[in-house]
Amino acid sequence: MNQLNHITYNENGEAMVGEGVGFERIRRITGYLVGTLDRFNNAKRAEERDRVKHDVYHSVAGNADAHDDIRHSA
Amino acid sequence: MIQQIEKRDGRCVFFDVTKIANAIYKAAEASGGHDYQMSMRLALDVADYVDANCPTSTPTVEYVQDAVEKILVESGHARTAKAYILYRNERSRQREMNTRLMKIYEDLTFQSAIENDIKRENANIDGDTAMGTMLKYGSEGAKQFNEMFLLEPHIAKAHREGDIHIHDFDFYTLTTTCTQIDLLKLFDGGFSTGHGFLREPNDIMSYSALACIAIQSNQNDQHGGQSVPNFDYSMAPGVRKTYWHKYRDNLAKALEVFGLEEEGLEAAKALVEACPGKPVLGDDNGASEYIRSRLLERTDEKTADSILAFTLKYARRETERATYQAMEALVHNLNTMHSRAGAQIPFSSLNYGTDTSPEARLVMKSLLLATEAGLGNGETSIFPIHIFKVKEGVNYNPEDPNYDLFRLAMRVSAKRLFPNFSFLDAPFNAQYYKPGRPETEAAYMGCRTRVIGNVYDPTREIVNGRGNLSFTSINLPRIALKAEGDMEAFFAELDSKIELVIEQLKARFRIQSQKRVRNYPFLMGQGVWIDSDKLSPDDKVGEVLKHGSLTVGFIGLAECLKALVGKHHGESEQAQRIGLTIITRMRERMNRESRETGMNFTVIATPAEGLSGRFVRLDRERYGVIPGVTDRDYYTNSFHVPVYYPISAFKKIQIEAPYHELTNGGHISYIELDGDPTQNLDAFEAVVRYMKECGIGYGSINHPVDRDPICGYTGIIGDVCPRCGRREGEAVSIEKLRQLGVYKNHNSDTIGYHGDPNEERDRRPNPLR
Repeated sequence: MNQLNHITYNENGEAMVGEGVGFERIRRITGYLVGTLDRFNNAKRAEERDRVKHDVYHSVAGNADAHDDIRHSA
Repeated sequence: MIQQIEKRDGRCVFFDVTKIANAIYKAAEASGGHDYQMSMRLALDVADYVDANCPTSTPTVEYVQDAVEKILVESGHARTAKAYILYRNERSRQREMNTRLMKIYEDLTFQSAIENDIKRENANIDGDTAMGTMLKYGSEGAKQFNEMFLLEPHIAKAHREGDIHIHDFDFYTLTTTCTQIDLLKLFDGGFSTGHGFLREPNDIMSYSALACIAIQSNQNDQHGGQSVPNFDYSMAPGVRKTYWHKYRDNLAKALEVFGLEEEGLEAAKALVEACPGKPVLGDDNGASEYIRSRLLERTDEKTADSILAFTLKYARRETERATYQAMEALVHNLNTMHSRAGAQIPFSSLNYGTDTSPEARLVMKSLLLATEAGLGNGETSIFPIHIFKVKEGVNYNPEDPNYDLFRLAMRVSAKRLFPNFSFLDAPFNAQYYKPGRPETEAAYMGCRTRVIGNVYDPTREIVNGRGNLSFTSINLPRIALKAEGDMEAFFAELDSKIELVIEQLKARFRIQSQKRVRNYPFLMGQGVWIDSDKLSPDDKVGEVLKHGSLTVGFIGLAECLKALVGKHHGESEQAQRIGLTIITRMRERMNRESRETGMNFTVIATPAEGLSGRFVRLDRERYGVIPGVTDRDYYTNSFHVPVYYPISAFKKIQIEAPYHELTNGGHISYIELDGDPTQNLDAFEAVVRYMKECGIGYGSINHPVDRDPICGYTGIIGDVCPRCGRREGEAVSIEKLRQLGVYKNHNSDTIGYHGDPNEERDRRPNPLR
């Protein structure tokens, strides 16, 4: 049975889909995209968990000018 | 008198004293002895000793071996005793490996990928499938065989203990890493896959289909990624041919519709062939004028103009449609066709961006739009890796002819993670660039490999038909931990590890060189590899392989610096200076090796998948948990600033850029963007442009791409889907999906969302309340 196609009914008798269906989370691992974290090895799962975002607009002092130059030359 | 002896597996066999004599004789031989009589006398002494001392009537093999050691030592045969002990240790190591291999096979057989890390060593192989498991049996068995029988013992030890890591070790005796495939050369006159001959393609549909087949076929001859260095230039002739056909066919239709011919095709063919120049997308080449004059011999001006207008309009429209469909099919094919015993799809990379012809522009636009639209249900495609080549005067600035495609590439990347961006103006790439010669444009393969410089043949510093032969990485944090802050000791150890790797790369190259053309029916047999078309099936490939690169890589510069000076290069300028000194040292040594051997020795910023965890595990066992060094489950990739370290995008780019110049065998830098970058393309563009200005060679931007397969929403999903409001694993009512307009087909296998790029664009995420 295709899970996407599996219809269940809630207490109000409404037809529902999606029971047990997770979200897909695509991530890049050593250059390649992987459709699900399930196939990451243990080390890479840890690495993905630790990733922090890199701020673009509130760069540290000294970069703001460079950033403006770049944006305005576009 | 002893009658029987108990073997390790518990079986009892007859005791044979000559076996002991033979073992002693072998040990004596290893230390220069040749006296078999003496060996036999010693063996009889052993038998007497065992007879007198063994507590049981049936001694074990271990007991007898202990007795041999004792007798040898006590009778003054020290050197023979030493050789015997070494031999015994080696044997028990091999035995242990056999046992370990069987244990690995057992786990592969009876554990699922969720339980078994080996099955997830490579995230692109589904270790739970029959073919995926078979591939792992082969791979694990080959690794053990190669370690036991092929490697020099000191290299095997360094690899086993994690001083170095020989990549793709299972393929050690079999093949090379990757190739940049010149599709135009391959298509010229047609080619064979080994299972049938394919004619030279005649329209864009066939061009794209054959591109996939070429990538797939070559993937079966190599263990690394397959790259097309100039996809735009390679596909453009297909569009040109399609346009001719569409022009002719629509002229034929028009001739019929406007009543000039009963059957228009032959007449149209004759007219088109008589034209002074062939019409192409961007240039009519005088065709219309010529055809108009011929039509006027038979009809009035208005009709002639109508026929031509019809022809041009539909030739263009149908060419555009065919090209989009061809690119859509290509993306689908590259995500579904299998290679490597069916366990993987090929690791495909397409480089493009610089061909400014109308045909190539149409190819790129179509490919990007098909990628933006996603696969059948709107999913993000995993392959191919797209690499958009950024070049001033071609696509970087608003006045450049392909600037619109650069913008489109960024828009698509903001949604789908590809394309990545390569920078042809970076000085180390620009030095090879010759206008009008696409083969001199630097290209990247797979995750980062780069091959363009050519010490072996400086007249051919090109990308086509070349690739990496093999690479081996050095565990930098280990060297730093060993040195305990002593810089001199650090560099001495680093030097010795580089020497070791060079020795190993050469040994592997000698094995690779002995292979023959027939071992690589596509790569060499079809002339994909440079100059292999000059060889016969039984010729050895050693000489043409010299166009490839032999490469040393490195892992964990950040942790190495932490161990050396307490800070990594993101934290301290001093650490950055030392980091650059380390990698410069590696590069200079490889340059010297290139000069001395006339071969391409290079440095790569290693992409570490299985390795990042293995090195740190081994080092933690040895040195304990050291903050900032061994306290995480992975070492940081190559020269990257650690992923956990908070740093601005611009600062990260500044710090990593100088390493791109040093790592001539390949490199990449990543920036992690917060939020949904499609809503902030300015920020996206600012990052890409800053990479270019700082001299980055190859870069890419990461951002979360989540998808709810029930309602089809693609973007960032936290705990709750922003469109349909369900949580992971939760059901949502069909009525609600209907109201959202995403529940279309109750009876199909894939109910829920069906991709429709136009509709998708117009949709807005629904607020939760």
